[in-house]
Amino acid sequence: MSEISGDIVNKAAKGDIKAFESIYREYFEFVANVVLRIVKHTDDAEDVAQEVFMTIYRNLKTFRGESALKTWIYRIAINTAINHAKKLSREFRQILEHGNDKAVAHSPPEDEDAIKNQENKKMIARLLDALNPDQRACIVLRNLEGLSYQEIAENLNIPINTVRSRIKRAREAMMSLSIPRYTLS
Amino acid sequence: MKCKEIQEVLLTDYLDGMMNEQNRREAEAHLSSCVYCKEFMEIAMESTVEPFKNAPKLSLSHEKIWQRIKEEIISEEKTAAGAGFLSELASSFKNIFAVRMALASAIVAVIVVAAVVFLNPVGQNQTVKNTTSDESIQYLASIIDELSSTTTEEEEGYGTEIEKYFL
Repeated sequence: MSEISGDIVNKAAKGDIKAFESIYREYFEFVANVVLRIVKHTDDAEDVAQEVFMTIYRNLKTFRGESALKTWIYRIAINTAINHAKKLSREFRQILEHGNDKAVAHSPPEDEDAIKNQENKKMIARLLDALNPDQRACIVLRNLEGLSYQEIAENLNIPINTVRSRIKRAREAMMSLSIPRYTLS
Repeated sequence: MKCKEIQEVLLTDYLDGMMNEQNRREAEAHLSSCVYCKEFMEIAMESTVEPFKNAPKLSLSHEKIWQRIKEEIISEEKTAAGAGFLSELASSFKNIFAVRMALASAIVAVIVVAAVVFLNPVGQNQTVKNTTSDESIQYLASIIDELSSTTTEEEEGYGTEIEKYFL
């Protein structure tokens, strides 16, 4: 993923939609993947992704380049997704669908790889469902996006030891799901 | 390292390959001698790390969301432009209102002064009366002066015979 130039950021901040589209295309895949993993529901994830990019568009004027644009966008995406997931949790909305069929199924269902993908996807969804939104965000960023603890801490604006603690608890929860004798300590 | 300590490290830094060389060696030495921790590590790897390896990236409809974003941006800009026009209109009305207020205030002030000057008969008569009495006093004073000057002249006289005859 290459960094967007300062010129494009300035143009987008002044309302140039073409320039903003370049930023959108550059970061869409990351935003979509993270948002969908944390929010889980495709329809909700679309709304959240839209909200993420509208927040970026409205606030580009205030972006002063103190952090990298990538970090700034990641932070907005992750926090928006976590807040949305927490809101859903508060409303006791149980999302039991593990499919997210509309989100992935690009291959025909009879394809062997597609079936494997579906199974893998269901397994991941089941594991992530066992976590609270904060833990889920850490696991998505670590296990799926490959960010280091330090990068996760910067993106979530939390201490590195909090990242470590959330990952530990998340993995304990996932282990107890797979093997019940490993219950939470 | 005790089993509890090593299991905490296994779940985080060890599984993520973030331990320094010395700590990693210590952990591996423990794992080679503790069956329980070795099993714990294998289960942790299998149930919390392996499923995420080679996980397909999820995605949403790129174009659909872009269209929605574009529509929202355009809608916001129209609203902002409308708000700007209304703001200018309100500002113009405010200016016109301010000028009218100034004119109205001036007219009211003139009316009030006129009312005080022309519609207050007591004041006016007093002025006339005062003027009249001043003039009268001055007139009377001049007569008195004339009379007194005459008396003086009479008293002074010319000392002639004919003067005595007519007086």
